[in-house]
Amino acid sequence: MGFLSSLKTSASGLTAQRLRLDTISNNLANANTTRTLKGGPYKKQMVVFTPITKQYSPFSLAAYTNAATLNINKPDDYNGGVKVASIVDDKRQGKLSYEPGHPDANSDGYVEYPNVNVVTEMVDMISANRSYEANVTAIGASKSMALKALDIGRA
Amino acid sequence: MFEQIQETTDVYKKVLNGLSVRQRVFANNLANVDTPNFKRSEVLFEDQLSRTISQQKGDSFPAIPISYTNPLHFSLDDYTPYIQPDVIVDKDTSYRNDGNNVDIDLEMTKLAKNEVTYSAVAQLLTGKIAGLKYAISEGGG
Repeated sequence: MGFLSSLKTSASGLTAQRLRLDTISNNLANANTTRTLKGGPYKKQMVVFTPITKQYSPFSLAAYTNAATLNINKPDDYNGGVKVASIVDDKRQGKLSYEPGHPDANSDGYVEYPNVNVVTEMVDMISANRSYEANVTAIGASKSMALKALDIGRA
Repeated sequence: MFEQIQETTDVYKKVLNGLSVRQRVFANNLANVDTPNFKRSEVLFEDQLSRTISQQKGDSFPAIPISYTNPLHFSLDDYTPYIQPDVIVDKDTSYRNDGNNVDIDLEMTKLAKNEVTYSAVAQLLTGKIAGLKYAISEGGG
């Protein structure tokens, strides 16, 4: 309880945003990849975030004197941070470009490029950056509060 | 006299408890700033706290007294009842297209305010304890 769970929550936010940034970097690096192992051009990847429900261990429940007031099975009791549920491909078709000499051209001479919009990815990257900074600030605040609590009663 | 010391430190303890729950909720809001359909939560405990405090002073705020059959039984009149901070979910607003209503600027500001309030209350508590120590040592070294 206390500050440790808040640090874990913020850490989960940091991890999730970092993974999102990694996905964005991957999308940007593969913005022109016309050939993948699965066949076809690279498809943009997206992360799916979902909140984590708070997990109560049996020991912490036993130690908590008012365990009856904890709403353990309340479906809205999201208090544990965020996690990445999955990384999914955006299956929309990318733009087709008429290049009959390209080795990956189809029978009509069109090459399908990845459906990565560089501008969108850059904006996502800024957003991920800002969210990461917000979580770092939250960790700093939790830590400073905990340290201040340790100073109570110190001579 | 000891009851008064007990009461004030109890109030401080409850305030610090409420503020630390609030800190956790803000951390959760910030961690979920990009999660679709996430609604922010907040903690309300000041009203509860002022109600329990005025209960002690005998104000006419409606309070549920603890009934006891034998006058020798402990009553809870001279002990601040346990308060459970309310964590409420703010479901009514939707700030963005993905259903998320966490305003990052508001959360950061509230976080900063919470941190400063916590430091202030911790400092008050430390000051109270220092005063007690001074009184115990009779003003000596």
